[in-house]
Amino acid sequence: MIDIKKLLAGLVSVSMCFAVVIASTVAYLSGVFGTDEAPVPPGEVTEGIFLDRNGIEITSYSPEGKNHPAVLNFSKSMSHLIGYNSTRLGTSGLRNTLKNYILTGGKDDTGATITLTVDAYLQEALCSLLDGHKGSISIVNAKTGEILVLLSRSNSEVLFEADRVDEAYARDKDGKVLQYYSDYYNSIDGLYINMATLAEDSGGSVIKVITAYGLLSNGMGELTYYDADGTFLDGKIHNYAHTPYYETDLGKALINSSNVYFANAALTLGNKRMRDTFSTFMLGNEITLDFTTLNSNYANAQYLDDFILASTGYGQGQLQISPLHIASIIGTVVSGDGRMMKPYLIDNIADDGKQKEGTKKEVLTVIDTEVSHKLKELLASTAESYGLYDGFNKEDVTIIAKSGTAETWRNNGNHTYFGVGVEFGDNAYGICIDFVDEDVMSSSLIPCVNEIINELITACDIRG
Amino acid sequence: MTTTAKSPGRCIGEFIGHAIRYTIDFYKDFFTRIKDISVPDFSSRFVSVLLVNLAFAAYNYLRSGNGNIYMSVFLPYLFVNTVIVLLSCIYKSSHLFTILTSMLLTIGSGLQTYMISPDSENAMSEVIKLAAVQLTGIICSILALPVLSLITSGKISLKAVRLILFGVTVMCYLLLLVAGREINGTRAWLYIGSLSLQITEISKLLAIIHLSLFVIDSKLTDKIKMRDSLIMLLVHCAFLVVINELGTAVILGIIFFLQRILFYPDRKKIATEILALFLLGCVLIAGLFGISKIELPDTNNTAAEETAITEQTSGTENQEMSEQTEAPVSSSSQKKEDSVALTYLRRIQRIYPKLEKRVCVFLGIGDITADDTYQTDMAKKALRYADLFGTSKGSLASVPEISSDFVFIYVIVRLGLIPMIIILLTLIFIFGDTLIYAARTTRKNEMVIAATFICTIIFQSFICMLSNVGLFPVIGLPMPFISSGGTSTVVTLLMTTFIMYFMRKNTENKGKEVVRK
Repeated sequence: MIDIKKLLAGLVSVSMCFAVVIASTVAYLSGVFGTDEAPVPPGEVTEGIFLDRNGIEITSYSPEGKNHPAVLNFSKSMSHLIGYNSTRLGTSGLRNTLKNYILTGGKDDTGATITLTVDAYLQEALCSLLDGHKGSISIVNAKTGEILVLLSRSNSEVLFEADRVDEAYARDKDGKVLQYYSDYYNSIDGLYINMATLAEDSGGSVIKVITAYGLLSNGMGELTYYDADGTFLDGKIHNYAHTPYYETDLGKALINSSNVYFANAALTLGNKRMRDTFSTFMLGNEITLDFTTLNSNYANAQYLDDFILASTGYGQGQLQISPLHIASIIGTVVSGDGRMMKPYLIDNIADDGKQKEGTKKEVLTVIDTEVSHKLKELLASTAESYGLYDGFNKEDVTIIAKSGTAETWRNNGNHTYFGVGVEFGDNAYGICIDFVDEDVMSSSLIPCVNEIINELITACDIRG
Repeated sequence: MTTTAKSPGRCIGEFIGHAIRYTIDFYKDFFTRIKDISVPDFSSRFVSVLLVNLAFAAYNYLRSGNGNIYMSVFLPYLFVNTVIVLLSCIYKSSHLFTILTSMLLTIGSGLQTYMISPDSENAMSEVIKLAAVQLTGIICSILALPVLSLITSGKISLKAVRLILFGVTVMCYLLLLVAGREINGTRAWLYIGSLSLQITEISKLLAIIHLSLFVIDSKLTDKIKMRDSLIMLLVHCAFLVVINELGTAVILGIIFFLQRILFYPDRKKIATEILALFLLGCVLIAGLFGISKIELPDTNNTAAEETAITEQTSGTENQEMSEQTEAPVSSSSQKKEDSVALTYLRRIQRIYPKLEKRVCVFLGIGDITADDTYQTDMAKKALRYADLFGTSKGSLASVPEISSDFVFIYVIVRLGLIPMIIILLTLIFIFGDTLIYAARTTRKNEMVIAATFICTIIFQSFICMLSNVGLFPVIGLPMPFISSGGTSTVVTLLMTTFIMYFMRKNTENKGKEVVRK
């Protein structure tokens, strides 16, 4: 029999030491015995603030002190993104997603300071483009995935201002509050929805970019089609205004946005290649971002009716894609390095005196660089046909673009998109602007696109 | 048992025959002991456990005001505890050990049920499910007891048993590699229909028994014991590291080290051995580092397989494989798959970056992001709400894995610091009680296994607690008795039941003396 009594006693002593260490650490961390770092009861924490990529305060500490929400400095342009912090409704937007950081004190009684990748001034400058419209503007750095602009307007008449939710909207003659802004906002369907991340409609002709990639990557870039009358599949599919484009190749089809050509292209590629191509750009997949999840759908059954397959090829059918996703796709093509970066918003988080990097840069998928270069050339011609190069030197700036007009199931009008890629210097950006439920064609967005490109280049020149 | 030259078939036949006879004798003795249960003894133990249950229910009623808790929550668990009391009466085990383990089991059951809210529609079915798992654990323990008793009786070849144990654990690991499911980056679960088994818990138990058998085996010299047990440990750790189950590897390492100190007489060379192991560890880590730097071929030409580039645009070299972005979704060329060897080489390549990340996150150095420290940051924030007697303020929903890896945070915040200290003291008393028996017993073989089991329970609890408060890297170890997890509960109850069996007192049967040593 081994005499281990002393060793066993030692083991118990060691375990008691562990227990003392654990209990002491817990007592210290909880501050329950009154240390310098006193515990902060919930509700007495100063809400943390958001900064933009240049250190500009998007929200600021409330002048009224603790227990009051931070003040949103860019109410018109940032409400959908930042959201509200309301005593009546709780939190929304990033304030909800990141409430564990900004609404919880750590060693002090102040929430974290979160630096976002957005450019507040750029976002504010572009905000007026959405006045009177329902839609969004998204700008993504194609090389890194940083989101520079994520503007949303969910109602063409009512402007959602996050900081007003607890204010009185209507009072009676005695001054008693009849209705708060929160009640008013709640009465409007979908007012809080961020249109930039909503995958409600098909993307329209912007999807032809993906079909074009499919043709090029499968060695069918030389595909031509003779479009005699502007229709396809016995008239079920047609070009805009039934315009025939006669002998059409890929470049001409992109410039003219020929539905007939791309419908034929989809049938030529076949269901499997179409599915593979769509999957390359993450269509049909959930993309988990650091502030939301991007969804997208398309008809991906193993056996598809010709009409559905053909419709998918030119951007109708059962497709659903969000404007932010479109911006990412276009950005991937313009960047030239073949990497589709995952969009992200959180640059870093500073809390309790420590700063940590936020979201990791991540590559979602990789596309063939040779193919993307060819596609980039074709789309540059398309951009030129839209007049987007006016005022720019082609040696300094590369612009690619594709517009789209999608018929929607809502019968309220169309959903018009403009997907643009801009490359200058070492920078490459994917842009998408869209207007929802309007009876306008995508060409009406060209002046907006010009302004976006100008503002973007200016912002990059000034602020780096 | 004398060894003679016999055919393998005959040996196996004799082995099985002997095992069956032993099992029959074991259960005969078991049922004899049932008949010998003394009512006063059972009553006193039962009342003690009942008081513990009631005390916990009363504490929670005073805290939360919920009077339904006892009827809907504690009665099913009281039934489980009654079975444990019955077992302890059968073996006349330590009264203190019985009460304290019942108390921990009750606290754990109550917490797991509170986490899903006792008023919710699903609460009752979750209570019944958890109680059923615990009963299953006890039944498995009763079935496993004759096996453990036979192993420690010295009546069978321990070499054969070790071979069997090793074979079974290797098969477990291979099964995990082939058919295991990966959850949170660890491939430790096997799904059989809707039933999930954490195979690494089973392999941990078998490995601990295997290590103990080396100690028990008097036919081996100490040198051979240490050599063979080290080899066995390294094989286990290799598999565990490949499936990214670092917690079990750490526990096995601690058990190996404790057994070395406790049960091998020559302690002068311990320092040298520690240094040798440290150097071996450095060599292994260097090897893993080298493998991580090998550039493996892409198996498709339109999409790379992995990628989380941390600072590629700024030119730093810290490239880490992230399972979130692994295998981008289908494109035609992605249908081409890696060979089996390449698949496992890629898996091994990921080990070093993950180890490095865990160390950096723990030490707070290097390129760590808010995502990396999210779990511990949220745990520390939650601790700010802690009070002496618990609070319902503060949301714990932000603390990931609150029902398993970070359950200690839940204990501290919801139950309070005083109950936390009670739990710590309970663990120490359980530990001390078992080791006192271990020091006094003459049943050397059983003592080795029982002491190893209790060390496993206690040290695993402490590591879980230390990682919850940021004093140890988070390695995904559940807290015995308290954390959720069916397989973990079954394994813990098996260990506890064996310890109660080990602590048994001799008994006499009418007309036939049955004395167990």
